[in-house]
Amino acid sequence: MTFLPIVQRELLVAARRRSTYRMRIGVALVAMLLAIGSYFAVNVGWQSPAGVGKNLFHCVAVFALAGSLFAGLGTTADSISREKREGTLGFLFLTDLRSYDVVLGKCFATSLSSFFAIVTIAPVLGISLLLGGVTPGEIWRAMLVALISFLFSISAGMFVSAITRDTRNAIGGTFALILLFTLVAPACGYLVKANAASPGPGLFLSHLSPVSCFLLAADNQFSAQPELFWTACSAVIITSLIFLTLAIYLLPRVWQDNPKNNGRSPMNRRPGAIRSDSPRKKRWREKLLNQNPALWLAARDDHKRVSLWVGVVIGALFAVGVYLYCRQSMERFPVMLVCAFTLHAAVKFLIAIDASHGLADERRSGALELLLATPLSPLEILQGHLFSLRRKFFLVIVGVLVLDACWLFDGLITLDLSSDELMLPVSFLGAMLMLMVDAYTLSWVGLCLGLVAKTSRRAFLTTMFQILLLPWVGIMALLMCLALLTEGGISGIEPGWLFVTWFGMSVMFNLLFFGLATNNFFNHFRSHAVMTYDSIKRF
Amino acid sequence: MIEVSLRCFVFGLIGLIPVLGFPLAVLTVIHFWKARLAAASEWNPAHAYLNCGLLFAALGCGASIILFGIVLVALLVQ
Repeated sequence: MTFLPIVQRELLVAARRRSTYRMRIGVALVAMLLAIGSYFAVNVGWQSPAGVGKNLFHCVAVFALAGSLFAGLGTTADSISREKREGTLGFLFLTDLRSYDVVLGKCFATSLSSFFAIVTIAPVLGISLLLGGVTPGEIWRAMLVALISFLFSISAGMFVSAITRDTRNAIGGTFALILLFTLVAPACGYLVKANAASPGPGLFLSHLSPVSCFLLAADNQFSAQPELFWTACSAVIITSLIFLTLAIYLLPRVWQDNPKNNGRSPMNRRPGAIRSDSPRKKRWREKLLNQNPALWLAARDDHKRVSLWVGVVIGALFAVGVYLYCRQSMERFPVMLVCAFTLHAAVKFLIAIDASHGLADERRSGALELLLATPLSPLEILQGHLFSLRRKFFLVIVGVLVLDACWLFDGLITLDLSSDELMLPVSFLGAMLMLMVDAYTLSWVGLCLGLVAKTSRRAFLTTMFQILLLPWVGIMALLMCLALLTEGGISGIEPGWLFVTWFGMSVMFNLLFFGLATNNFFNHFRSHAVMTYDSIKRF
Repeated sequence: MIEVSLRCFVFGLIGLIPVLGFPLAVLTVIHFWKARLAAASEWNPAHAYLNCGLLFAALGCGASIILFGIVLVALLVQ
């Protein structure tokens, strides 16, 4: 008998998959480009080998940490939930397979290519050792932290995937869980440490974060208190194993549809959740039906907005709490910018999830094909989805902008207008403007990619990458080039220049991908709408 | 529709000039949207010009914002 048969089979399949090789080669190429840039900088004499080695190490280590932390979103987050939606999980449980076979099999199958990509980074970290400025221990610890963060991310994704059915809930829940342990837990730990009599609970909370492991891996921190690093690593590994154990334990208990609940979420099971519309709402919906049936269709799901508002309000309260605490001891505008950017990113993330699932879900269920048999035009169908998104997110965005305005007013009171800090309120206004622009573009690009992409998860990831991540990738590439190729590194760069570059790049990518998405949508709507998955792959 | 697409291309090309071409880059985006909506139900023979116009406008807008912003930051810092 084979131990873990699904794991063995999935590993054999994943090892032959093209994407495994492509991702490994892609990451290796990026890393090699960095190494060649470093060699060039040393040869020309712009920087000392030790300085280049240190910069290269920091660039690659941060890149590896960020990639590992969010690997779960693209790999395990929608693995089991997808099987549940498609009804194939039940077939697995009809065989001799156990819950751990399924969970571990899915875990290995989906995350093998990402694992290879992270391991590929190790030789480039080794190059920084040859250049100098970094100790061998630092490199080993950085690799260990990247692998631990990867384990944490895929375990969190597996746990959320085991308890959810919908793609949106799976990806959103994984993101929230990762954010909770990466940012919220250390922030709470810091607050507790500052106010409590004993540092124990504060240390415990901050050690749950993979970011703490990364910070403690630096040579100066590790040489002073090595036990703190090992404790943090152990805490993250134990948390990951708890997530995996919970997924294994819960899966056989939650995969079936419960006839009592009729497939409804807990929010919709509460008494009075299903109620008839008021006469006013009925009249309004009739008006929509006459105007465009797609709008009438989109005006149905009011209950989904409750969970959205709960999430946004919790996020906003946390951001306000952090701001109020930090403004006593730090300058207001930098704290405000970090809080606002985080809140904006969360709202954009929610818009991207919702937009990329609209048409993708309809296409998968065959509803889009049925709609195309009616006299509705593609533009009218799209207007219905845009209307639904506007109903959900318009007030959320207005609320966030009002909060931003309050922050801005609070910051302007103490701002010295004669100083060089004048760029800070301008940057803040730019961030507010970009929230509106990004929200509009994300709606269009998400909807259009939902129509084209193979799965809604892929549509979401592509939307996020094109609109939100590419500008940051551009900034990172610019910073890496400056760090490697100039003598002063990035120390002489004004923060305002970085913000301006981010703003310009965001506008540029928004316009480019908006044009591309609308082009695909208007020219190939019908052909994409009736395609099956296999034909999409061939296309 | 064809005229708007060609106009979009020309405006986009002028919009590539940093800072000075910014208003025309914005106009290109407006024309692009008009032509795209007009071409929603029929084929646009000048779609390549339309797409190129938007590409130029996007590059022009990005370059203008970055250049203008860098100058503004330098002025504010001094």
